[in-house]
Amino acid sequence: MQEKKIVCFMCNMVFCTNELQVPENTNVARVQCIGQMDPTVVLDVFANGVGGVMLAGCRPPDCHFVDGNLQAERAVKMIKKLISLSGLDPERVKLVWVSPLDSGDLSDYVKTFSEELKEFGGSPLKGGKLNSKTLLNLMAAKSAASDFRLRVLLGREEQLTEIVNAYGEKVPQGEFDVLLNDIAETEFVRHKIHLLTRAKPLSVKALAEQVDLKPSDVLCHIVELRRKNMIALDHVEGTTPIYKALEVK
Amino acid sequence: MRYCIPDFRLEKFVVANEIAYIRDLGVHIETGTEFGRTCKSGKSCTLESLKNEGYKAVFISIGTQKGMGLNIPGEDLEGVIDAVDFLGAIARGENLEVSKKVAIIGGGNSAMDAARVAKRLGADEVTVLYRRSREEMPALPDEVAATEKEGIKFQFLVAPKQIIGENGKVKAVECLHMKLGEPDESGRRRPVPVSSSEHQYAVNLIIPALGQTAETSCLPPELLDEKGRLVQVDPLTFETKVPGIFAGGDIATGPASIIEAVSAGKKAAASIHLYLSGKDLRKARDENIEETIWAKNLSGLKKKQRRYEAREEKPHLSLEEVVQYLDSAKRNAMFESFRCLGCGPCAECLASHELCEGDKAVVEESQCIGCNVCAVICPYEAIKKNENEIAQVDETLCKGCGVCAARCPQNAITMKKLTNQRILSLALNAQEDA
Repeated sequence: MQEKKIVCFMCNMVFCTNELQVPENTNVARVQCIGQMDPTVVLDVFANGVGGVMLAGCRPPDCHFVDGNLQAERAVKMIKKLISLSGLDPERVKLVWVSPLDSGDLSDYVKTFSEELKEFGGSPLKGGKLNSKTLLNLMAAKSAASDFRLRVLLGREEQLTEIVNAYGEKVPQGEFDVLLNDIAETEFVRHKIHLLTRAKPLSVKALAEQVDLKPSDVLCHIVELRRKNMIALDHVEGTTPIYKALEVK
Repeated sequence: MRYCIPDFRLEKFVVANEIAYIRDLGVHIETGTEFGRTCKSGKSCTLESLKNEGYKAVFISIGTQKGMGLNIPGEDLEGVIDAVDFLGAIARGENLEVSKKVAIIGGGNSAMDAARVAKRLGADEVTVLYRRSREEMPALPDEVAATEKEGIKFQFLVAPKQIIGENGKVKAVECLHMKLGEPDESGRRRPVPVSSSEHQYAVNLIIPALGQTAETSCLPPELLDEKGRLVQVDPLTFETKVPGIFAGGDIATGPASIIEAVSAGKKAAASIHLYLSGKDLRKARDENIEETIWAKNLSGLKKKQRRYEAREEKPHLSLEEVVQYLDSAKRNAMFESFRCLGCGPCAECLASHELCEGDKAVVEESQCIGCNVCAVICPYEAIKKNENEIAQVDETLCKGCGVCAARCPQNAITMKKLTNQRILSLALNAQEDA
C-alpha cells in the first residue's frame, strides 16, 4: 500500500466541485454524510498506518441529513477517547466544519491539519510497520467500538442528553461524558483481553502485565467476559487457570 | 424584442411567454422560412406562393432590422459594428470581444442599450458621441441617467467625420464640433458643423446607433412608399395598396415602440377579419373594438373625487450593486441546493445518476435485537419496529445518510452501496480508485 499520511473523510455535500485541490499526502474519501462515519472505520484507517484522520462535515446547523453532522461530533468524541487509549495522540483525529459558502479549499484545511500533525512526528509508522503494541491496541479499540455497549450508548446520546431517558430524566452532558469515558475504558480493556487470549491462552497474571492493571481488576473483567460467553477456561496449569477466548458469533 | 432589446430591459422569458400565448391560441408559427425570394435550400415563400397555397390575407410585420449606416469613410473597417447587429449578436449568445475603448455614435435608446451592454462586457471606457445636446436626445431621460450612472461618458455636439484605421482595424474616430442651428422638421434644433474643428478620439470599437431602417428588398415594389423605405398602408385599416395584404409595426410606421406595433397588430387583425368576412373595411369598422370596460357604472365613477399622488420612485441599483446582488444570489442558490432532501422529482434529471448515491439502509433481520437505536436516530423516521420487534426500513423515506448503520449496536444495518468496507477501501486507495 502506498504510504499516505492523512485520510480525509468528506461529506458529499461539503464541496460542490469535483476538482478538489488535495495535497499529495492525502487521500480523500467521500461519504454520503459525515454522520455515516462508523468509529470502527476510523480505527481501521489508523491500523493501516495513517498518521491523521480528518473528517470534514457541514457546519451546523446545516446538514443535508438534518443532524448527521452532530452525530459525527459525538462519534469523534468517542474515537478520540479510543485513540488515546490505544496510545496515539487524540489530536490525530480532527473534525472540521466546512460550509459550502466558504471560499477556502479543502487543501487549506488539510494543510493546517498536517502542520498540526508535525508535532506528533507525522505517521505513527515506524519503518513501514506499526508498533505491534499499538496495532493490538487499535484492534482492541476497533472491536470495542463495534461491540454493543459502546454503540448503543453512542446511539442513545441524543436521546439521553437532549430528550429524556426511560425514567423521564435528562442526563447532563458532563455526566454522560464521564459515563462514556468510563465505559470506553472498560470495553477497551475487555476487548484487549479477548484479543490477547485469542492469540494464545493466558493466565490472569500474564494478562495483568500486558494490560497494565491489577490482577484483581483483570479477574473482574474475565468474569464479565465469561458471562458474555467471550472467554472460557482453557486448562489449569498447577494452580493457575489459563483462559482462552471464544469466537464471538 | 428578443434580439435587439437587452435582457436587463426586457427579460427573455417575457418574450417567450408572449409567444407561447399566441401559439396556444392555435396560431401556427413557421420558423426558419425565408420570405421574398425562392431559394432552393431551406424553406422559403413569396406573396404569390402564399396566395397559391390558399392564404386569403397576409399581414407583413417584418420590422426594421437593418442599422442605418454612418455613410462616412472608414465604415468598413474591422471594429465597426452596428448597434442592431451588436445587440443581436449578444442576445444570440455570440462571443464578441469588446475591446478597451468603445465609442457609441447616436443618442437614442438603442445607443444607451449598446453603451450599457458594452460596459457590462468589460469595456474600460465607453463614450457616447451625440451631435446635438442633451436636451435633444431621443433616448428616455431615465435611460440617459441610468447610463451615466454606470460610468459611461457623454460627448455632446460632436459628429463623426471619418474613421481612421490601422492594419484594417479601427484606431480612432475623427469628429467635428457642432453647434445648434434653426429647428428642423422634427422640431429639434439642427446641428451645424463648426468648420475646421476636427479632433480625434482613440477607440477600438465603434458602435453606430443611428436608427434602423427596413430591409425592403424582399418586398414587391408596389407595396412600398415613394422613397421605397417603408410599406405604405392605410393608417386606419392597415391595408396596403394590394387588397388582402396588410402591414403593421415598424415596417409601416418606421421605428417606434413595441406598444405601437401591438396596437397596429390588433387593428389590422380587425381589418383582416372584416376583409375575410367580405365586409367593407371602413364602414363596418367598430371603433370601440379596443376598449375594455371593467366598471359598469361609469357615471358614478366620474363623480368620485380622486387624489393622484406622484408614483413612488422605483429604486435603481448601480452596476456594482447588481453584480454584488447576482454574486450573492449565486451563492444563495448554491447553498440552497445543499439543503435538498433528495425527495425524487429531480429523478428526471439524468445528471443526477452520477452525482447522487441513492443509497438505502438494509437490516439483517437475524441480527436485529429491536433495541430501537436506529429508529430514534433516523432523521427521517424511516425506520420503525415491526410486529416481530425487528427494525424495518421504509425505503420511500430512507435517504441513505447511513447514520443508522454507523450506530447499530449489533452491526445489523448495512448500507446497500456505501458500506463501511467500501468507505475503508476508498480511504486507503482513494487515488487508485479515482
